Amino acid sequence: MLKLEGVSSGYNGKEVLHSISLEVTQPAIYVVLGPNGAGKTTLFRTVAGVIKPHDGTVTLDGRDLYSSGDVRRDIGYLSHFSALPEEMTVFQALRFYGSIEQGSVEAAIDSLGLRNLANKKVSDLSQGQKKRASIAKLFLRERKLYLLDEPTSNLDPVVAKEVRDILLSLSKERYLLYSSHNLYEAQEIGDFIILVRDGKLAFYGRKEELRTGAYRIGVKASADLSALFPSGRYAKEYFVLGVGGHEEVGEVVKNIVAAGIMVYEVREIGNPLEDLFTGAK
Amino acid sequence: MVIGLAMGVLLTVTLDFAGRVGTVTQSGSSVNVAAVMGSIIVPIGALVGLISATPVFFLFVYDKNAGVLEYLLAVGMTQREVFSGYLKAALVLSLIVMAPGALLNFVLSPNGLLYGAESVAISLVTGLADVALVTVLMTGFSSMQRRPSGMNSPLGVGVGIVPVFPSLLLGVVLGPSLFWVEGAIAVAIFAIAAALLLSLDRMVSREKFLP
Repeated sequence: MLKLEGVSSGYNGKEVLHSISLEVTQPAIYVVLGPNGAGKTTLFRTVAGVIKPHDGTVTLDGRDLYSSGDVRRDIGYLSHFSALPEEMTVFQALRFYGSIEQGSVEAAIDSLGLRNLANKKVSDLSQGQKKRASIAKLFLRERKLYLLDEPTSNLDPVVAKEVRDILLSLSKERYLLYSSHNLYEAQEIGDFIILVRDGKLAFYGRKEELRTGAYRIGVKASADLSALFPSGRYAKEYFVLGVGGHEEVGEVVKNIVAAGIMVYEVREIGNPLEDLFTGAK
Repeated sequence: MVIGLAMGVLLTVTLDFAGRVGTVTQSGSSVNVAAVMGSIIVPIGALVGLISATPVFFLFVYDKNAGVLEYLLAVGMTQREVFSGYLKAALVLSLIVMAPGALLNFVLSPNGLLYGAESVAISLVTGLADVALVTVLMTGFSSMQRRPSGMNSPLGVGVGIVPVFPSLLLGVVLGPSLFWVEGAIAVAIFAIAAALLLSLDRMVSREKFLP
């Protein structure tokens, strides 16, 4: 479906992405992970056809992305910016883009549950509402590939979850590339992980194959925890033990409390995300 | 529209006055005041058109900063197509403002319908040509700025007056040939605007459209 072969691209002659090759062949959510400055946005802009690669080719179903504008219309791209004219209502803004893309405004409004916001000015929308309205542009017509560049950034956790749930429901049987610098978000919604580090492809595969390194926590408690967790050890005032992931932390705390021991503090000791992003494993 | 109508009334009154004055003779030279005053319609018309097109210059800057231009590239448009869209908007806007004033001038022309038709045609054509040139220049320039703000719009108006300013003097020198010379100037301005528009794809890279 989507194929990148030796793609290098960047801005003003400076290369940001270096010879990236990958292929997206099955409908799924592909989470593009990487620290800030890794090249995630540049990758998305290159695949969306916003910037041309210096080297290499990007093809969609075998068609070169720059062979015609029609190929790029099969890709829906959500950037960091809402790209919605602030003085227009939601309906007017979608109709504006709908006229360019021969899309259906009604379908887009219904997909994102914007019926009650249709006559509201974009400038009067909350952050979460603006994000939904912005995502609605992508669903003016059916596309082969959807690119979402950090769609939950700058959203509070509740609204971010709402947006993720909407995207999950809309992603069935679709090809969706979703960028994030949040590993936990990636693990929650992604099927495949594309890890970009320093402009290069560091990992591409199923999320189960991604090893993040040990996730260690430090616990301050009212009694010695050595008997409860033989694999752990004391480091200064904290009892340090390794867990499979952040979802296991609650279980650890539950076990300690069940043993009649009070928990004063739980904290991360070493962030596996940092290891992943810096390549230190 | 109000501005256009107001300019039309002002010009009509001016031409009527000039017509009544007739010919002024000094030191053996005669000057047809009506012809001289009639040539004012060209730069005034262009000025009205440029002023009415300035919202488009601001809109381009706003859209660039809001990510609209980036999105238009993503949906398959080329830089030229994007520039053309703003050009069309500027031309339509300026025509809406210029046309009523020009029409009023034609209807009330004190110097005969033929002269009125010629001056209206020339003022509209030259005005639109000028708007086209300045719009292409201003949007191209704004796209190349790292942080465009639209505050250079008055510069655009100033630049736009330069090609049409000679019309103020041409009426004195050329007399009846003024129509053809000003027509040629308008065509030349359109040609330059078209050439610039066609070359913008090469001059302005896609990256320049990013916020």
